Amino acid sequence: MDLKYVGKDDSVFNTQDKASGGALYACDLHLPRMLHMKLILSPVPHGRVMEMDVSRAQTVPGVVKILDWRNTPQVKYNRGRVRASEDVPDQETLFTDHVRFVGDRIGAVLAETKEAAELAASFITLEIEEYPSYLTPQQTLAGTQVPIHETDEIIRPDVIAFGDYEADPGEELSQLTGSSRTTHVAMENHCAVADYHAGSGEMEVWTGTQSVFGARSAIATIFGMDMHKIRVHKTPMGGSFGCKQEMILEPLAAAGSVATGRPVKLWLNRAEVMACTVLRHPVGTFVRGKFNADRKLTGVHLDILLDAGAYQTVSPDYCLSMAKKINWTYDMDSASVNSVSVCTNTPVSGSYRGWGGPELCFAMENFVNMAAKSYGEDPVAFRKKSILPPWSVTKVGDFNLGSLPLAEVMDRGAKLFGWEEKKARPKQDGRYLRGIGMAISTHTSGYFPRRPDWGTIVIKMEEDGSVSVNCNIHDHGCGSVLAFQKIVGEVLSLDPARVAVPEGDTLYNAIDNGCYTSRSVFVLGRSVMETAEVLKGQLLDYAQEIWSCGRDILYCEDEAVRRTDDPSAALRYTDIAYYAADHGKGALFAAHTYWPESNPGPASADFAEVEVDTYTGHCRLTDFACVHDIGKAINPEVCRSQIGSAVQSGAGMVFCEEVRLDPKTGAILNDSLERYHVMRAAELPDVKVEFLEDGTADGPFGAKSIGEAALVPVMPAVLAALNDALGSSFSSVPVTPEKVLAFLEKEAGR
Amino acid sequence: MIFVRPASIIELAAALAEKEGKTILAAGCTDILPGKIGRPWDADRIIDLTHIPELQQIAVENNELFIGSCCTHAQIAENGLVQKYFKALAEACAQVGSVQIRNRGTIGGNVANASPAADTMPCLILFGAEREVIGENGECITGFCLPLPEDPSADSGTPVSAFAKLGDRDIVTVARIQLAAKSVIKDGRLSAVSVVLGAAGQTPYFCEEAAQVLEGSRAEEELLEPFAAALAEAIEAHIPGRTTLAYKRSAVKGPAAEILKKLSLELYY
Amino acid sequence: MIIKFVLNGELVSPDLDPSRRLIDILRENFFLTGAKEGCGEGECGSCTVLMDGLPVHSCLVLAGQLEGHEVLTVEGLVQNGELDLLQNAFVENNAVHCGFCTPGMIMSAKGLLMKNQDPSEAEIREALSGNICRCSDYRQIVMAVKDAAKRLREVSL
Repeated sequence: MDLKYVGKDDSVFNTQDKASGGALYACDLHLPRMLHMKLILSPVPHGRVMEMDVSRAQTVPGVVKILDWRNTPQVKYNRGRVRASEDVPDQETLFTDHVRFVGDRIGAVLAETKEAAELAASFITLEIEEYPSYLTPQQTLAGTQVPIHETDEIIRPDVIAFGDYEADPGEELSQLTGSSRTTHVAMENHCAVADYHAGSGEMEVWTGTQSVFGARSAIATIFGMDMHKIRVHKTPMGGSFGCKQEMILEPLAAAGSVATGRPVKLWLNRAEVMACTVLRHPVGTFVRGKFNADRKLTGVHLDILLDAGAYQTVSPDYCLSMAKKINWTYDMDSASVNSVSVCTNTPVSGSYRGWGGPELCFAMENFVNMAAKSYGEDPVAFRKKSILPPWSVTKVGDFNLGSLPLAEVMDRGAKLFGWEEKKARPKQDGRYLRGIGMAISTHTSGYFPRRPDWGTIVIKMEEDGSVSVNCNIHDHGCGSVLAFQKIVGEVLSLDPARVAVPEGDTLYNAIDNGCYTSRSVFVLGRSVMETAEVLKGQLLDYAQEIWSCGRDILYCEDEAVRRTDDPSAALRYTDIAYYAADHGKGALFAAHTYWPESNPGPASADFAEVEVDTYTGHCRLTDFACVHDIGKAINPEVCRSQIGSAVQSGAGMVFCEEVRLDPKTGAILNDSLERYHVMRAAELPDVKVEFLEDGTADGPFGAKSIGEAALVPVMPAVLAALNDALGSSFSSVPVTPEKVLAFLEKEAGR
Repeated sequence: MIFVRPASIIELAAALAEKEGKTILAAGCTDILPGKIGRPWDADRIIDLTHIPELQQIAVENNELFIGSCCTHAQIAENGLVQKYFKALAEACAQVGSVQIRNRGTIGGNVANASPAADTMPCLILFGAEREVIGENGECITGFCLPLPEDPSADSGTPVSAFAKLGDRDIVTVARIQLAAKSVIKDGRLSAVSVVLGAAGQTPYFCEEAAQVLEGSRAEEELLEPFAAALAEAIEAHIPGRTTLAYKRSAVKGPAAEILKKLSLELYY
Repeated sequence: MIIKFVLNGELVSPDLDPSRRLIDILRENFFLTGAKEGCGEGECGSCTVLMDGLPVHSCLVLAGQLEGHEVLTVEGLVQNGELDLLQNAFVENNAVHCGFCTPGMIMSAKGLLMKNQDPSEAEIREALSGNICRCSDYRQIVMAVKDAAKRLREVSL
């Protein structure tokens, strides 16, 4: 098919507002009489607030109200719940006197200015009876003298298993993989603005969220409000990477607005974002795997230990999300995954780009790389013996993984990277050592069949022929709006600049699952595509009526219906729109629902080259190549940046990204970007990317997912390269310069 | 909050003489403003130092180079006189933070903030800089005087210097080790070598033993091991038992190699 | 305190609390919300503006220090409703993703191009290392700056 917009690099019509400084994010909003909210956070890891003295704070000019656990609803909720009916543990309240980590919310000051709120908050004194604290999962598992939670402190999700691993007679290898807490560093700090009108009982919220319906459901539950009276708008979002997918700020801002009857803005500074939103899970995974005589992987057994932080929130589901992916990449006769999610008196762990995918892949690929090394085999060739063939049906969940071109992405990746050439280089000695490594992965493109999924879309054509799409889309800044504009433009042969795709708005959108599990383009994009086709059908119907001609001679091109038998004839869309109105046909308007019946796993292969400075222990990513089975890149250059950003954060997690906690209090030691390092422009190579576009998937124009999938294999590929350079066997990250030098010293001392 | 903006040294002196409670001296603000998002000032008065032309000068006076305290890192890094006579200082300034920080942060602030990791300090110590201050208790730095090295000649030799820094990463980083060295090239060899170690103790210090390793040499590669070993010993003596010791002792080899390389380039070009 | 300075080419003399930060003045007094607060400590670069032609963090400048200076923000690059050459290069090279770092990134790039009209890739990456973008590996941003430099050289020929 000849495509006009899809597959072309063009984002001009979509980004000018951002480049001019005109785009308004939640933090840029200012409403009349708006108050500023400042949170009062626990300074201790575990305890009971006996007294909170606000007398001095109340004297600060501009202070309007001080909230705490005594004057706000004490409804327990789960910030990860998107739909009110979801069965997840409820442990969190807006504010609490039972504080469970340094950074837990005790109260909040509402004031006319952020300065007044800040000053007043600094005047509040707390008297806290300290409890024993449990800062590691091991401490909690050993038994809590004062429970962190009465129930669900420790959750052991169902074991996911097939076959009989223990009965497998193969040779067993094992490895423990660990990763540390990290923070997302979305450039936009969390912010929500809530405006409650006591008279009408209506609540309006503006927030950079991944689910306006999730935010609505949380507010409705906590405040006992009717959902139709809560309108949540998704504002432009300065990156999420998962940190804005949970309902953290919206209920708090709403509480401030309910309490004062005035609009309230809650904006967190960087230290607060790190301390009291959500961090990536510290996770330890013990992998045991068996190999037959040909050294094909025949079975695995995983024990996963997840540190949930102070509240379980999404962690139990995270365990399951890791476990369910166990049979997406490698063919095996048996697998079993045990997992446990444990609360500790530390910052809350939760959603991060990939949702268990990168965590599982990191453990599995480290294991496979270790096994290849111990068998003396090439990592690419070694994997080929064990990968799932195309169109495999996974033994967990029983669905088809799609074209799954694992061998092909490896082969093309090896070529793109120059794997064989680099492997053939003589081993260097001297100050700088270079190594190479690789990893593969499969990810998801939606909820199917794990959970019911659909996309309900309304598209209307305005009388000038431009189009508005009503779709519950949440663009994280990665261009999904742009993709949808192109999809509609392509179907209707309409300039994408003439397609409006406003983002999530609970008042107008049909209920939706939100921007999770990489479903946006695959599920909603396909829904939008089909709906546009319905609208196109209407255009053709009316053209047929106007021209009294056969349907088969009609086609759409350049915003007009045209006929093959008369190249000069054209009915512009605007003419048809007026015709429909003037002849009592009604509006050009299509409502449509699409239910996905597949979930192709995009396959990826990543190849990395790392250079280690043996004097300083500094590691540098010197080359990186990725081949990603995207199905169809709707906007290739933007898809490339998805890979680029994944390399930035994945390599960062191997080299430097780590939230360090005080071993005595669990407080974050490096709660600033000065001390929490991400990789900068000068530290990254030009990442080579190739897309595999077989177009077989059910997504729009054959597209599969990319956003989360891009991150999945990065860490193990980079770590493998580092290990290759050093001859080391690090399996926990980050590998800091200190660890590199300590390793080298130990080697030298041998 | 009183905000004073003196336009000359005289006005500054007058402002400093007034007792107006707790006073903050503000120049590039790269150390006093971070984190001040909506936070109240714990002070009664701010004296702004950025509108005093004298404090922004770099000029030769009486065989000394005067660098005004409010010269920015970018300004110093790009200044021809500094590059000519005090290359190590120019290099140190060029490696401070990011472009934005270098455009605002000042040498006076870098010293006054007294961070053990201040990048200009090892160089100022290396070059024997004298601080000029005003105020009753010398509370405000107005500049630094660096004695000019002798002009190159066959007799006196050619003065050279170099700076190297190791942080958590290669750019936009707080120093974990700084190394500044100067020497005079005479007859194709290094003489009168001095070496200062920074960020490896409360304050920077001369490392005589390391300088001795280089004295009379051609900065040969083989000297790296003994040079680094001498530096490691000095670090060990200054931060005994510190958790960062093991790393710094070993990683000092990185900046040591960089200094050797820079000096050898001076020797051969 | 009345502070006179040039903001986006226009002489202004607002009455300001001199102890507030430039970023707050821009965002709250002038409603120029292009400069973003990402860290408040001069690390992320999202609040970068030009002061006398040099990129600085607007979170690290005091209002009282603005007297007599020229401040240029991302909004000031737009002339008669048209994006300038550099902004267009960002747009056309797909260098704008979530857009939060974009205003600061553009101002850092502007500062670089004012000094150096023919920067190498390494120089561009170094000049932008004070600005964090998490949506990419900086590839498109580097391409945009290169492209803008090329166009600038063509214009000035």
